[in-house]
Amino acid sequence: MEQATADIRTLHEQIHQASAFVDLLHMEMGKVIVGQKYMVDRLMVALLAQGHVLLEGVPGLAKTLAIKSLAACIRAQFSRIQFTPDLLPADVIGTMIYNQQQNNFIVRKGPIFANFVLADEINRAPAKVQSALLEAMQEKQVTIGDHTFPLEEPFLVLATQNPIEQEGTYPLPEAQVDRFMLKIVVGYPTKEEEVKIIRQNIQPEGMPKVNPVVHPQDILAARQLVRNVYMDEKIEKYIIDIVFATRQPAEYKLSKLTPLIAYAASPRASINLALAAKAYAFIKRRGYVIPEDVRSVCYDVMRHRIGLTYEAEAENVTTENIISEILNVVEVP
Amino acid sequence: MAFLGIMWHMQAFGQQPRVEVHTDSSQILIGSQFHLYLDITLPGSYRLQGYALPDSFNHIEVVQRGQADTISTGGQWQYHQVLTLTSFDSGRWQIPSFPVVLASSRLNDTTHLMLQTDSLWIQVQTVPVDTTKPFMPIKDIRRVKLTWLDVLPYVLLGIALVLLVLGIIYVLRHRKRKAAPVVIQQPLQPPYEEAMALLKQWQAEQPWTKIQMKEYFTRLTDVLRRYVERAFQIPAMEITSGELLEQMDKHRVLREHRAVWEEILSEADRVKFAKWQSSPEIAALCLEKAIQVVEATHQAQEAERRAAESASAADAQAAAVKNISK
Repeated sequence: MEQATADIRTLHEQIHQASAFVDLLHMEMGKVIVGQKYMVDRLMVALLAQGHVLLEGVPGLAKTLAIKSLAACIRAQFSRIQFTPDLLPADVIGTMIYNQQQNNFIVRKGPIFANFVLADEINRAPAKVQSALLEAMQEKQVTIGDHTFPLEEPFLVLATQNPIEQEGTYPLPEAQVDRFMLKIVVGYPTKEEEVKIIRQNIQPEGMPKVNPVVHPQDILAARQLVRNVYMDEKIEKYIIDIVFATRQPAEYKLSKLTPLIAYAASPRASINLALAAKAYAFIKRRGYVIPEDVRSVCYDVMRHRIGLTYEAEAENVTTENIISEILNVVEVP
Repeated sequence: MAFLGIMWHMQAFGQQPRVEVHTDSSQILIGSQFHLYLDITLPGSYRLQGYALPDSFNHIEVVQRGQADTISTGGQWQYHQVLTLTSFDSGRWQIPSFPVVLASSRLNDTTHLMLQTDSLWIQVQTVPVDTTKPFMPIKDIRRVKLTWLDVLPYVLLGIALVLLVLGIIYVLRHRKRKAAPVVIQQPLQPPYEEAMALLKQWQAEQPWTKIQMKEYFTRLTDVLRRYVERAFQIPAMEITSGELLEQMDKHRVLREHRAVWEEILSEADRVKFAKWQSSPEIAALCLEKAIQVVEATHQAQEAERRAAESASAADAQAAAVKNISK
């Protein structure tokens, strides 16, 4: 027992030191991103937990700026793909082109070969392009012709979806959405934040520049530490209770949710909830997970993994409402 | 020889089998029905095996074969059967003679006797057509007038259905429900008494010497959370320590002791979730502080309640004085 306690303390101290870059990242990103701390925190969670992010929000909420700034802060390569109905898989992953001088085919890598990829309006491209991207996200490698190329770590895909203008779009199937660790819903800034945004954008010297403050190697090392963050069995049980409450609501005295849930959270939800909670604990500079960490990331991990019935949609019940009901009933350890 | 045998047999018993046929009418209108009566008289030693009259013969149709009556009189058998016949062809038609087969009723006697009926004539007359009059079209089908007898089965069925439904409703309403098992619930102790009883008991028992620290701190926080939930209506069992402290900030009584709450909850969280090995001294200190904070918050809550009661009593008294002075 003494040994275990010592290990946790050592880990806690390690994490406390290694996570110092989180504050630096926040400070640096704060130079250009006003507010949106919630989104920036979740981006870091996904980055440290090796997940990908689906961002939903109306245009102009600094989604692109956030990931661009994050890439700049980490000295990482950033690329943006604007998804359109005529986009082809080769436009994303790359293709073989004929070299006349050398009389052979050479590989031209696509924009997916970057550390941070912004897939803007992913639901505007047809299913085959979405599949190409999602496969690369899952496999972390791309095959062009006969050659397979591993994608360089850290590799984070941030896909955006516009909740309005659904005409002419190709909504991501549930199985594809499940591959995103987090789905973040970005809201509008407050009045005070919006005043700051105006001032920042119209100042004569232009927008402030973001400097690299973290090396990609630091992120890779941090990822290893995130995996080591201690999660007690009480927390594991808490996660399982939350996920099972979506599957068997009646067992948690939530019978009223049964007709509202078409399909419940998958085991991937439990895995990602645990991983995201560990990453959140790391961001909070702790070597162990507490229930607060689970609750903080629960909405982002679960909201795209619960299917609503027509009855729920008719009553304007959202997945957020269902998660809130569950969190209000499941006992905290 | 067989014939002679039969003749001898008949002579010996002095009884002759006899078959007779006659009709109830010698002439009919085309399509009308008439009856053919078949009477067979047999001595007791014979039985009727059958007769061969086809369903359709010589422009005549057999509509129905009636049940055969069998009468036993003085050692004889008499068979009587009525057949309903008709014809759809006009003319004079013959009902030909048809065979009636008899068999011996004795055991191991395979003797058969065949009798022939008389033939009869039937005159089938057609409808006289007056060719001087014009041909009329075929008349429409005429509806038969409904009588109350026609609708009676449906009315009765409807009444029966209504009665059945009413009966089911009656049974369902007056069905004796299974008596719910009587659960005698122990009256809940007030939150303060409940929490203090456990905390005082632990003070005496020092449970951290018997169970693991993690288990001890889980129980301690459960008691405190339950006290807060019941006494201050905060859903303390379903929220995290941080959220609980935020909720406590909204209550003046709890807010005054925030530091103590935070100290106990933080220590408990470390022990529960971070394998933190708390010392017995810390465990005892946390218990001591828990008792103090429960006691203090209860006293403060009671004082608040008494102040509110005296304020309302004073208000009521002032209102009464005001009424009297009016």
